[in-house]
Amino acid sequence: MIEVLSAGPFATVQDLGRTAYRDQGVSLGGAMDSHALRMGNLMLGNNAGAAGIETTASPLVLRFNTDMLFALTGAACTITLDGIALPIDWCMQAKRGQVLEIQPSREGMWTYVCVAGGIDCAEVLGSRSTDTKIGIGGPFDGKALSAKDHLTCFPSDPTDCATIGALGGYGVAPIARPRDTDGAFVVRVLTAREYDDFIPQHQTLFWSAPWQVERESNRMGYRLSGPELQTIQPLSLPSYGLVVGVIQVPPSGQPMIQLAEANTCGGYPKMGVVIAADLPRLVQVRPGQSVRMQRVDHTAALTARRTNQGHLKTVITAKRTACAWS
Amino acid sequence: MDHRQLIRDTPPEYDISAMGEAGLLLHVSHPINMQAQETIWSLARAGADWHGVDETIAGVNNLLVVFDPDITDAAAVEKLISKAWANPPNMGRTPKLHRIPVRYGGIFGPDLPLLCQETGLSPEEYIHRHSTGKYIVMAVGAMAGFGYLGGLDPSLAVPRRATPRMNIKAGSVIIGGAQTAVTTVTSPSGWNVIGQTDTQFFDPSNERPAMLQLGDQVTFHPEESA
Repeated sequence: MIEVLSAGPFATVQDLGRTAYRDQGVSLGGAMDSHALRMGNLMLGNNAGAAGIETTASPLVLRFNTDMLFALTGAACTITLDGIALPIDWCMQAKRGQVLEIQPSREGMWTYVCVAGGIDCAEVLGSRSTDTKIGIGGPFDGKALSAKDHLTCFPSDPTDCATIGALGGYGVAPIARPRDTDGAFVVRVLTAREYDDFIPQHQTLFWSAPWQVERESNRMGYRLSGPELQTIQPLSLPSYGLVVGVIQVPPSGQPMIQLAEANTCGGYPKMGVVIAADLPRLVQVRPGQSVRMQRVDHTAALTARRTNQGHLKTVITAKRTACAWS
Repeated sequence: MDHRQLIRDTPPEYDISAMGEAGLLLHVSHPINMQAQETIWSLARAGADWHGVDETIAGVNNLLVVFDPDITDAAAVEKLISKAWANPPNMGRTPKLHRIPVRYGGIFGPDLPLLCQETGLSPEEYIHRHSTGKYIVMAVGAMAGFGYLGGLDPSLAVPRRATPRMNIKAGSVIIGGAQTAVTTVTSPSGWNVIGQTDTQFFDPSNERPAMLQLGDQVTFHPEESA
């Protein structure tokens, strides 16, 4: 139903990941920007966790071999359908034979193409997410997409397809990505167990410095550069389970943030954990851009979580409105 | 409320801290302790069924409990952890014994000469001590199906390499500090390689895809040459 005409090594099928196998050493995986994936799916009337395509760094070119609804979310970039420019956070109908071309983003990192019904491929360990480290998931045994691949989708409501086709498409507003006065993207953080073991002046630097995202950042984690952070005394910790968003400081003194495909255990001291609601804005920060850590408490983290959930509800409402158009 | 406010009235043997707004980390205070580790295994198994808990990940003398803040809250989960610690449930699983054949040394164990140099043991003696050891799976993590094994003879311990190798094959039998393990996917590693096994440690078609589970026992033996 969809033919891949061109794809880079980072175009993969992802859903919301494997949520019951971290105790087997299997990474959570799934979309780096899970909020963008959910948005795209909800715009289409899919379950929020249906499988879509995540892409970064290289062009992605797809040909639709049937009429179908698709949605574009995540990092804004140059996108065309048969040469006509499309905006991001947009849902519309593709007609059979049309070609969608997505260029690598210069504003963010991860762009998502969701399709009505979701990508159809076998679940492995409860998920359709592609895990290239262990070679499971996605339609091709853990491999990224490449030219000549064919993707199929689950069935979807043809009425929605016709209605949105006649409407011409519709868009939604994304969640906020606030920036500080120096341009650093603000990311809210809860302190973690070893925070108190760091030199007080370095604790202050953690909250004040602009942390630059380094090139060696990927689906496993983002490396940051800035002032060196040191514990008051050398710490040797036995390996402990990791959550996505944990900010560890290895002996180099440069923090790293564990992300979707991080290993499930690690042993470095941890400063804090990025609140789950701010992972979408964190992962969209490009190498060379900076992040500012903002200290928040538990209550604020839960409030932010509800705010994101509220945003998804507005997307559901928008879809309903669009499909009732006449 | 930050992570420190959860540490209150807990028995001196462990502390509980927040790992984000959806995780609690139980960290045992004293040096690595097998009785505490057995309690952790018990909580790891029982915890997966607690109300609102998504996953439990046992580490070495610690336990991460990941929960859904839409269903429960940190205070409720902390109570469940403390209650279970005081009265660990009997999870009734019989540990499995895994006997792992290893091709030691030569091209399969490029770091064996260095380890012999560091420890003052002959290759035969190093291999003998490694292959007569009895190991326990303390935790599963680091990579899919990877078991952190306790029980390495201290005379065999050698620190990790200063420069990690970019890629070592899955099935590499490795020594890192005072731990031994077997890699389960081809990956970069700073550990020392002493041998190779063909045993598969991870099968995604199994409901529990890791062959090594918490508390299982592992022994190594030199593979008979053909």
